[in-house]
Amino acid sequence: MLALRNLATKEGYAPAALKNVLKVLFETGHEFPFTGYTRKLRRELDLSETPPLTISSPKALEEVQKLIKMAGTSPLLKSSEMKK
Amino acid sequence: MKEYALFLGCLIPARLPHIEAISVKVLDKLGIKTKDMIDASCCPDPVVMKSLDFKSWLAIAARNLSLAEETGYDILTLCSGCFSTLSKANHLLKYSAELKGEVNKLLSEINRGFSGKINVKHVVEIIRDIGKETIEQQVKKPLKKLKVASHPGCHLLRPSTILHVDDPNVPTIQDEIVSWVGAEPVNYALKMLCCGVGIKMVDPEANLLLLREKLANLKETEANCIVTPCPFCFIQFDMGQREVSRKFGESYNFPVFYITELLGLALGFSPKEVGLHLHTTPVMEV
Repeated sequence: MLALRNLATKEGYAPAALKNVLKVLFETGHEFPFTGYTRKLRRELDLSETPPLTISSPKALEEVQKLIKMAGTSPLLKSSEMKK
Repeated sequence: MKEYALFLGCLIPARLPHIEAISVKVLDKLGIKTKDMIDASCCPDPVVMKSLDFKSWLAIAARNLSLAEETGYDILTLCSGCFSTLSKANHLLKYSAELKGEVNKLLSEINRGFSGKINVKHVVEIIRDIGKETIEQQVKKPLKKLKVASHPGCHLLRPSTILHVDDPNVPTIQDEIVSWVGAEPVNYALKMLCCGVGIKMVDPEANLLLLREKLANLKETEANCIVTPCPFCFIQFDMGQREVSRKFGESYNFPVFYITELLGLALGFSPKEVGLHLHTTPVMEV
């Protein structure tokens, strides 16, 4: 089942919501990006506004993006594919 | 003091930071030190990314594992989804030389590598290992009024041959912890039913039907609150009850706790420190 889903993805077919998750992951390194509200809430809880994750590190994001490109999912990120 | 590399994931730091805050405080009080994993990304999640492309899923998970390997500490995660991904990836890469070779070829392009020298733990395993005696000694405010329905969720327990957390059909780990903090565990018929959140993106209707089924079953029991070890299930119950109530003309108002919130209250942290004011479904006075 997983293999079939992976094959469909390579042909550009996947539910739009799932493609969007990949897009956000590619752009930020995370599935749930940090918002202004997140940062405010974290400040109120005495946590660092942005934890030391990929979201705060251009080098880490570059690594994640490179892996996605090399592993072969990136064709799905093309804008024409996102609409399918 | 035992030390772990804390893998925060995405949902908790970005949407439920109060769970991050109280978990670190509770663990510290119980003698567990945590260090944030620097530069970690999304785990990535065990459903979406794997469905889209197994190799990308495995490579990104391997990068996260390699970051923990650099620290020399085992990973501690608060999220069942992250636990599922990182544990399965760790297992696959430790036991398949072929996959390890393929992934290390990709990782070498970013000057990293997977060697397989650490383990991945979920916070409930850590709490279980701390044990009944230590936790009961630390309890300052036994939660005697709480009759707790435990929702284990899907990703913490299966596949049990890899995860080894608990019995995948009759789990007891959370109920034990609930009794250690003075509350009463309540059993119910649909304990093992999925909360539905995993299919929300592709089938929102079925997602609500599953949640309704679970909530309706809970209403038939003595339970007056729900506890879960998964932040996705937490959001589904905490926020989804309102949606189910509206859609089906019914009324569900179970207070929902993440497992360390329950411990936090019992160990003497104030409701504000636990973050109860940030819940969508109001939490009764405990």
